[in-house]
Amino acid sequence: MTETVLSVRDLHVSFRTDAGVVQAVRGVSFDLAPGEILGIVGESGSGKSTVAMALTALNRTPNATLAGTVEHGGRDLLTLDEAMLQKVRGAQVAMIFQDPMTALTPVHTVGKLIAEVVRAHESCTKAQAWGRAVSMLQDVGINDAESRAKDYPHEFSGGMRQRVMIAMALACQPSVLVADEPTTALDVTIQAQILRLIRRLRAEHRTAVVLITHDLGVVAQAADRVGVMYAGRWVEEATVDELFAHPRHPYTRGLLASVPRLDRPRAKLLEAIPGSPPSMTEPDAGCAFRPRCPLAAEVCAQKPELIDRGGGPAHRDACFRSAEAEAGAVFTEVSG
Amino acid sequence: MSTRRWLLRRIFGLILVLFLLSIIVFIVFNVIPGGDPAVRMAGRHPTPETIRQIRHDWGFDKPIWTQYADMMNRLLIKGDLISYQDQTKILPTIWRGIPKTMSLAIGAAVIWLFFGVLFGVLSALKRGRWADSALTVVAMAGISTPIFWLGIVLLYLLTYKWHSFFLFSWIPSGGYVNLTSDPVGWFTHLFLPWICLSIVSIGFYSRVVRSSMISTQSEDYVRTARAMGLSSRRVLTRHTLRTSLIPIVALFALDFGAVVGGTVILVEPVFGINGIGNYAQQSVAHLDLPPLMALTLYGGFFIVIAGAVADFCLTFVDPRIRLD
Amino acid sequence: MSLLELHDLEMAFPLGRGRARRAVDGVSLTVDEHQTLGLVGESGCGKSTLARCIVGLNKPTGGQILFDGRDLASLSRKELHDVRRDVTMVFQDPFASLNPRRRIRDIVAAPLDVHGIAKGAERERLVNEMLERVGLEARYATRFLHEFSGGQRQRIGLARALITQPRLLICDEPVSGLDVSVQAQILNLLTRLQDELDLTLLFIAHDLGVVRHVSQRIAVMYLGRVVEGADADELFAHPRHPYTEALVAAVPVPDPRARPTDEEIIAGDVPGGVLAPGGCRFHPRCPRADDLCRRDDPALRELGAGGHRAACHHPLGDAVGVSGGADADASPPAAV
Repeated sequence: MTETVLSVRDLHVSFRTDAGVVQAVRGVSFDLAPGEILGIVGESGSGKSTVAMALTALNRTPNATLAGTVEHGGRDLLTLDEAMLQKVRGAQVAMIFQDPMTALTPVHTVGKLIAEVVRAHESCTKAQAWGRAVSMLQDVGINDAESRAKDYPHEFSGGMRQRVMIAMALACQPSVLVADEPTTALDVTIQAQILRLIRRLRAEHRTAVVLITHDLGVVAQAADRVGVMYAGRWVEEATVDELFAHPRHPYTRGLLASVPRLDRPRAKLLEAIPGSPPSMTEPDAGCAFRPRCPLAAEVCAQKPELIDRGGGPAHRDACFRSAEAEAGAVFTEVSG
Repeated sequence: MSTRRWLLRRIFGLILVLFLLSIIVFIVFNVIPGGDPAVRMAGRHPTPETIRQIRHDWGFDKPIWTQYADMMNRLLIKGDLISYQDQTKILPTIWRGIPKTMSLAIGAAVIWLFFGVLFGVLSALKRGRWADSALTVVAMAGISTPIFWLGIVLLYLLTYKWHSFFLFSWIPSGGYVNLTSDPVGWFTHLFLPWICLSIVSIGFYSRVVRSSMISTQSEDYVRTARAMGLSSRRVLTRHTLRTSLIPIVALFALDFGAVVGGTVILVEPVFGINGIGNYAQQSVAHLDLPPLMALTLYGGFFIVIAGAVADFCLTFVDPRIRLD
Repeated sequence: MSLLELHDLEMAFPLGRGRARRAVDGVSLTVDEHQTLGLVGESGCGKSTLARCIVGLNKPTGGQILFDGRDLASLSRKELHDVRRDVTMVFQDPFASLNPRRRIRDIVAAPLDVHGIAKGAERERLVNEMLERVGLEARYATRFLHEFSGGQRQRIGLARALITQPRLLICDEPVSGLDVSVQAQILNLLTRLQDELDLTLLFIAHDLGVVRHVSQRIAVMYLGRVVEGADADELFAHPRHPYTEALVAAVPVPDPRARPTDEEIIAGDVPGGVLAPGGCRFHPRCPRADDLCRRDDPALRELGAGGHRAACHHPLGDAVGVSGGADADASPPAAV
């Protein structure tokens, strides 16, 4: 039984909105090992960001319902009250977000922002906290950290601000870092730098990372294991090598086939998935991918379970016909 | 740009504004009907001879720009400009009125700032609940109330009709007492005027603070602060409030300038406080140009200065803003 | 036959006190008829500003735009108005670029109304025809925008841009705001439409994979200039400008076996705003930069046959340390 630092079981999240009840997450379960990077891939409406926020109950509002368990450090985070959760956030499970341009309070220097997090979780003097802030800034690759710590967020570029966020998140050495689309708003050359930074910090601090993205390339470059989400459900999970070599779920195969890739010769037309991602107010009781799946059949009206169908390394998928899909019945332009 | 350059630019702007103001006031006064000072000074049943004499003595028959130059000279350089109405010197009257007006304005400002921000924050925190609705009603009532009407009504009710009721018996019916000679009296005499003057601003500020807080609460950086595990109180004070109050700094500076420079005109006459506002009201009633000129420049000065102070303070409060 | 030619195009935005932000700083390029030219670059490179200049949303502060051989600046207002029928644009954000208060048929027919091309029954027929052509049903014409998904709205935007039967279609990041699974559909649609309608395309995007898929020729922009231009396959097979190489290396490929090495990941930030004078604009980040680079701004010039051009003193494929000075004088500066 491998160690797990985070264990999610049957997570359900729904929101009451003017348009009705949105079931954003419908029964997601996964484990995270220490020092592992788990990539969660999905498009809009997949629920991946909701999962990320739900891990520390950040989206628990009067209109939201969170159910299931999130085990960390021997207790279920979802049963904790706000005060207890505040002790966990930042110190044990930290989170960074998508748009670095708006994610830092503009009226405080970055050094103060980081030091504030340190002092919130550890008892130390102002000077010690400041020292930690400076060393974290250095750690994330900001040159001249001593003087840059006295600068305000608007004096940094987007990539730099994201580094500051990472510094804030890792200042108290959390065991888990949840990164929600950390590079989506950044230029591609900066994205590569940030991903490399995350991998390096993971190696140095043994921090487990939950990396949320819609970009399959990002997942391939940075993750150890991958989970694919669609319409609030976990539809496939495997190690990164296994998933890209032998994708099983038709949606995963579709995603891989429809992305124009630099490492393949140019084709005239892409193998596109027809239709659009579903709305989450009236989710399908059976497989939500049915309307868009070339392999859809009668059996798909039932709710698919996430099962390891064997025949290789650990690899779960939620499709009744995944064996046929893997054999090439759909989306053939997949593996390189 | 450097502070010195900015300062010079603003001072230049101030002089320009005041100059234009003075011209406008002068021209307006000279074209409105019924404003002929010679006629007013001549008393009842004046003969054309008397009027002509007065015109000559006072220089009203000189060309208009000469009159203007004379007036500005006596106001700004010689300092002995006198009013048409009662031939008293203007500047000493203004000088005596300033401490009274300032007591009124500063006291009201403290009150409206405190309650405005408090109500606004409470409204935002309890958004959608009955406390928010109640405070909204109070705010709207405050904004809609005409100040002078409120003053008269309050005076009537609290110093006359219900004066015997112990809660109100200590409220005097008007006038002003020096702070240095009688602090308690100073307070009791200013109490009602302060309420009057601040009620509109309390309503207004609470709305501004409320909406600023609500929009700040949904900002990404507040989410970051929460995600880092900061306590709710810290998130509220150091992140949400600290940022949402930035517009209040600018607003307050401008408002204060406007109050000192003008709004007091509504309150002082009602309560019999002999400050600038009262003097201004009387001068308007008598169409007395010299004090009006002085008071307009005084008001304009304060408002322009307030704007510059607002800009200056903003650079301290919001690091993204630089002097121009 | 070239349909669009840009000669030393400049677009500078004044910043007060004599300074200006040179968003487009001397761009020369050619788009041949029935071809697709892809324009790629990161934030601040000027590609969107360039597109807006061509279509007339910005008035260039220098240089020339020749459409079909005619200088746009020399045309009368009426003639310019007519050119707008032939040069149209599709925008990035399908939620922001269409008017939510109007019905679909009015949105699509707007160019017809502006140019007085058709009225009444004829107008309706053209609208319905165009809707079908972009993959939407004609009966959607009476609906409003909020009933449609992102992908569908982008189709509507395309319909609007194509209804006047333009000769040149400019696409400014047309798929960046869409889900991955929908991107492929829109790209396929564009490919099909280009064939059916004999379109010339100027395709602008930051996603290299997408640009490569769609374009025959590609120009790479950096800080307001074109730094490299070549046929699509040639550009990726043999990039000559160090920035192009860095850009290609930074793109995360969906293949876990192809992770970039540390050397390949370029350092530094994408600079924005006012540029410090002197030398090649890429030299602060370039691993091959030397004194010549810091002094001399290299012009775009031919490097061998096949129309491969780069603006570099030490293009890749030449040995480092060999000055490109002698060759630079031999061939005159070229357009892409």
